[in-house]
Amino acid sequence: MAGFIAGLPVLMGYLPVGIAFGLLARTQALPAGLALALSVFVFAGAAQFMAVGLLASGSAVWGIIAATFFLNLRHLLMSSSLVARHRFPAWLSPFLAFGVTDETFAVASSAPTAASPQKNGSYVLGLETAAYTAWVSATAVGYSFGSVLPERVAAAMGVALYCLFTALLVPRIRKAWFPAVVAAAAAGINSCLASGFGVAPGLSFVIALLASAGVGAAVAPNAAGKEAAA
Amino acid sequence: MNVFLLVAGMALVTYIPRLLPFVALRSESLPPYVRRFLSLLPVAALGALIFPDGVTAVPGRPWVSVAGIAVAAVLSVLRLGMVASVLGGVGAAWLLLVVL
Repeated sequence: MAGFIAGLPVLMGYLPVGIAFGLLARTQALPAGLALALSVFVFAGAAQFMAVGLLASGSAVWGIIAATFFLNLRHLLMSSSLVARHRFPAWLSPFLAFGVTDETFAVASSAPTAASPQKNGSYVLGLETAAYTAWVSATAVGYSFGSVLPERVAAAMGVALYCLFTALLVPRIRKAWFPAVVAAAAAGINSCLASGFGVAPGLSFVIALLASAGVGAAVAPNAAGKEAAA
Repeated sequence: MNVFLLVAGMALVTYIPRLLPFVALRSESLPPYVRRFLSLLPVAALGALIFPDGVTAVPGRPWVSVAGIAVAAVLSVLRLGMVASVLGGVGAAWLLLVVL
């Protein structure tokens, strides 16, 4: 189905990242069940990596849950963006909502709006299915076999997630200069808040997002403000 | 440490924000400002996701991390696709770790 095919790049991008996650969980001595459960039930790469780091540094469970909430709060905005552009079948929505991640959102929001909610729904479902199956199986593979990877390969795989984000960002900013400014502003604000002011990671994300997109939408020049630019 | 609580808690606080707009936001007629805001969210989110965390992607080697991301950016500019960008970026980072 068309959605699944559209999701293939995300699937392939998720393989090294998922393996990196499984491997990281293993090297941090997390139980296999926990690593897999995180990928199966949370399905949020950045948050999962963050959780492993927090567990390693001895954070309390409630602290990790709170951090996850703020880090993933951006998905609320992403879902809002999707729902604003497409109509989906009501019964399918709970499933579609589960699979909203940074990458599936980036691909889904580039998709043309189909004629019927059914088509929109099956497209996004196919896309998310590709991403999800890759993520879960890669976690399992990374956990089980990751230790056969040489140390430098495993270390290098740490950039996989950020390369994926980069690959999603570049096509969006090459067309017009304004989105690039917004992206840079978000990056700058997030960096300042998190590094300079010691704001909690999830919270600084949301502030950076709201500020950059909020101001951007207010001052957007007409050409760059079109939804098609997203 | 209660593993079930951790997973269930993380799953819930992740899923509910994702779900809310699907069940609550039924309005088709959003004001233009809101539409522009929502359409700028993807680029803003991606920018904030790459920095500052991308710099610490390879533990202890910020410049290797940045180089990996830069290679991914170049490959993306060359329209070589997501897979090439990820593999190229990881490959470049690995190469630097070998050489340095």
